Amino acid sequence: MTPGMLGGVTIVAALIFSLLGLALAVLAHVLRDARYLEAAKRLSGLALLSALVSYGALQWAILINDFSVSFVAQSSSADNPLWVKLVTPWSALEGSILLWASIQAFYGWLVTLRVGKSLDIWRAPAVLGTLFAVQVFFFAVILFVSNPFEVVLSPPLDGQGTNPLLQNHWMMAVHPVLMYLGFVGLSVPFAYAVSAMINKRYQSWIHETRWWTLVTWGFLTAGIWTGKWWSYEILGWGGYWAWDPVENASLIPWLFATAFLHTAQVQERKGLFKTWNFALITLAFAGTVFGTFLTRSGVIMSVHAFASGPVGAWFLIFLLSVLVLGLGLLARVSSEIREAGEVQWKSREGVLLGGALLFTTFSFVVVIGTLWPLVVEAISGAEVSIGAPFFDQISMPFAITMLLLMGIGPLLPWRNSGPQIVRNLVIMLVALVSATVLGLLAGLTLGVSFTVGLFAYNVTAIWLMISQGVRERSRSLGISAGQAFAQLFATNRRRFGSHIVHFGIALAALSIAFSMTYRVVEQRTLNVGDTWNVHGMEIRLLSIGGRQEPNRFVALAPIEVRSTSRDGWGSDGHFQTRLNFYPQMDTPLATPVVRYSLYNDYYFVLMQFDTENRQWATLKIIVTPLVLWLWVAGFIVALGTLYILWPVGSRVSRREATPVAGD
Amino acid sequence: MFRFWPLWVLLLGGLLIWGMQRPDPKLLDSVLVGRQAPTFSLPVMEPFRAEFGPELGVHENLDKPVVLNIWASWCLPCRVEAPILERFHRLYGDRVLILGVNVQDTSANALAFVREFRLTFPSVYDKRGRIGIEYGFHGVPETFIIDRNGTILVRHAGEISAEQLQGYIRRVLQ
Amino acid sequence: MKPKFIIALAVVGGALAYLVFGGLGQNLVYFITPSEYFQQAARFENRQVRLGGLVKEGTMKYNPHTLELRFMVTDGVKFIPVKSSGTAPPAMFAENRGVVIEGRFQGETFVSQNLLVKHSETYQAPKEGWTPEQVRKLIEEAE
Repeated sequence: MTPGMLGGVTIVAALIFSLLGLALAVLAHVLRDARYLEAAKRLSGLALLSALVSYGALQWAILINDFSVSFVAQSSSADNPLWVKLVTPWSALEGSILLWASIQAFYGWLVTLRVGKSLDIWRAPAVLGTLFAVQVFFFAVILFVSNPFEVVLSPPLDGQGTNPLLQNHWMMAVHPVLMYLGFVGLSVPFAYAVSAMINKRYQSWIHETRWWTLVTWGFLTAGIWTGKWWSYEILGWGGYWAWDPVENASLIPWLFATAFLHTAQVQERKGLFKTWNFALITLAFAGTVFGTFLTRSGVIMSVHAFASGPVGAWFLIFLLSVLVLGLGLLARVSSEIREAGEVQWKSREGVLLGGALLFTTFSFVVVIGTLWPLVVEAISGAEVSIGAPFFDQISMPFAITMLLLMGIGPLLPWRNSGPQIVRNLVIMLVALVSATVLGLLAGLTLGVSFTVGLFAYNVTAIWLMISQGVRERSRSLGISAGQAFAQLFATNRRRFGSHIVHFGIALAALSIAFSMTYRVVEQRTLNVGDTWNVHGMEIRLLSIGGRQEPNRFVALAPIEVRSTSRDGWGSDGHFQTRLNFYPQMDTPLATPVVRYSLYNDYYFVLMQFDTENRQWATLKIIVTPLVLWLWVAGFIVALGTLYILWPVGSRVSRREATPVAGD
Repeated sequence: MFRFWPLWVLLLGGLLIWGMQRPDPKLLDSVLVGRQAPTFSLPVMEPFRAEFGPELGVHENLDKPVVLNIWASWCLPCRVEAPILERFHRLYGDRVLILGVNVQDTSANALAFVREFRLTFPSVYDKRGRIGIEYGFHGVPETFIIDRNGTILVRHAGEISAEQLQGYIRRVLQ
Repeated sequence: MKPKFIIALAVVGGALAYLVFGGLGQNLVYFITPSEYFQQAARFENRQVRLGGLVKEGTMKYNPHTLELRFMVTDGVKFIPVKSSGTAPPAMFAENRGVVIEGRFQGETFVSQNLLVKHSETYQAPKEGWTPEQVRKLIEEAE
């Protein structure tokens, strides 16, 4: 049994098991017979097993250099280092879909574990049925359209190798997996929502998917963040977001998911936004499929896009089906859904609604902006592209409003606001204005000063919330402030976790404002031994040389950097700037050398060098202020999310959740 | 707005379907079809020099139809094509010139490829990408069928099967 | 729905629409060939555009010490002189290769802010007398 055969067989098995599971789930629902449900559960486990074995077979084939397997011949090479071989499965289309499908099968199986416990047997069939349907789609695509296990009749001695862009950095091992864990995760709340609408039980699904939604959101956020960091480290242009269609594709589901995350909480506690949430989760999951479609269909030209092919059409059909299913069901049941009351704008749920509207609107704007070139071409035939300036302009008002709402929202009580809230708001606004003025006085631009102001506004808000809570508790229980704080911190996980996350977001906004506004890019050609005085640094080119590595040749131009003024603070050091030459690419790949510091990041790229006499080299330097804090902010957001999710004793969690009676 | 959701879904679907219909370079007729094949002369790979001389190419006085096959050693479908081309060379080599053009490759790998499939039809090296510029191919493999007057009849993008090649050869030999 | 609510929604919606569609209109970067430019020069005069074509053989001059690059871009029918300074040209940049240059026209010369070289090496040299439409197809084909 060769890995190719094993892989091929298990794909078929996974598809068959998923189809059977779907059929059984449908039967269980229609016939109201729990035995079919039991059988469906078992099939989920079998599908997962097949998927895992298939993935394992692919990995095995890569590790033993079996070039009779088409994916291995196309995307791997015998002299790839081990870690590259371990990430090769998701470095190209066929393997990445297999990874996606395996994760989908895994999540589906996890849901079956809940059947009979938090997921009652009346609703479970529809949930499992939806998840099986998604699995069927993915395994069918693998089997019929993009099969990594196709046989190569006369195997070559070596494969074509892995895209060098993906071998340059270890982040390749992390970012795609995180993104997929996030994307796939949205299918679970969606499945629950579908089931809720079919079974006309409009409330319980929110409680059950709380954990899922948060974990999925966490992975999505981590995925996007690591993607930003990866492009920053690797692509040599010193930026982390370019509004490229593929980047937008990951942002769109994230925006919907963030909106959903917050409105779901409102529904959980107050029974409001029921219709909204059905729509939001449909859009979020559809956003995921849309993103996958964009990157694999060739519809929009992009630097990142995978190879196009018939896969695009399949994903388009899937996308439209998801939209039709979710929105269609919603249209059918929306007249029956009873909200638990009206929304007051001056309450927390009002702000949350505003926030959700904001995120949703922005998401639609990004979709429109991404698809606009297509619309223009359809109407007028002209070929256009939408530049980053459009998105930058659009995101400013959105970001500002979001930061304002983020500060005031958690501060407001549910239902309505009282005088104390107004007092808090005044304090926050004072912080906003004074920090902005301070920024202007320090010579910062209006935009950056205002962001500093918003940062101060949010920090003040968090401070007010914590200090008021601490004061109340210490007064009522007669304990010290420190003890009160510790107690609150330990028991109010959601509150404090969200404080941490919101602080991280505010910090990220600050970092983005500084790093985008004050970024400096310069290039110069130096002779060996010359010095270059730029932006508070003295850079000296030491020599030009080279080094042979197993999978590439590296040209090196070491430099010595000394900081000469405050502008260049933290840049001192000895750096090896280089150009990587890969055999399968006939042009070299520049990898930047990044010097991180809490103040500025210094980026050194070797652009070109004298290939004849090794006398000169062209260097590019990029100085980006405060960008390190963006990664720190991401870490803080992750910590906050983990804190909310950390398993606690059942006593505490029951106290936190206040389920609304009845559906 | 929400009430008209089927409309939005239809619009979105329509736009994206249209977007996907835009010509795939594989299917687009090459602008060269029907025109005179550009002439060239490139260095012949070592194993074939004895029989075919130091340089070979398409030129006016050729007077033979040509099956011009663009290949590279790292290209998987080329491995399927090579034995087929070899077979047809043995059958029709006196009447049709089957000429391979090796692109984006190293000579060591190209020679290994020729040896592996025991090819006897000649191939030339195109190191500087002249063929890319003159003929405009999109990927490997690609095959140009040129009739004996030097007119390009077909540009076949992608792997070519024995039946297809048989059909083309029949056309040029009429 | 209360009338106040509707008015507020209309205002916000209007502002948003203006921002989005106005912004979209302004930020459209047209992709043109040299021939297309000459046909409608006034339209593209002060806008950011993307110019596509081949680097004409024999016209490339690059001084690595001053980081100044000059060349002619052509679609086989018309030529446009291009100037780019301050950055080394991308590694794949060479004569007879396809490029897309993003920038603006300053008088007769196109001043480039961004040079994008086509990833595919497969480029067909346009012959004299082809229509811009055919040339555009060529450029698009090579993507």
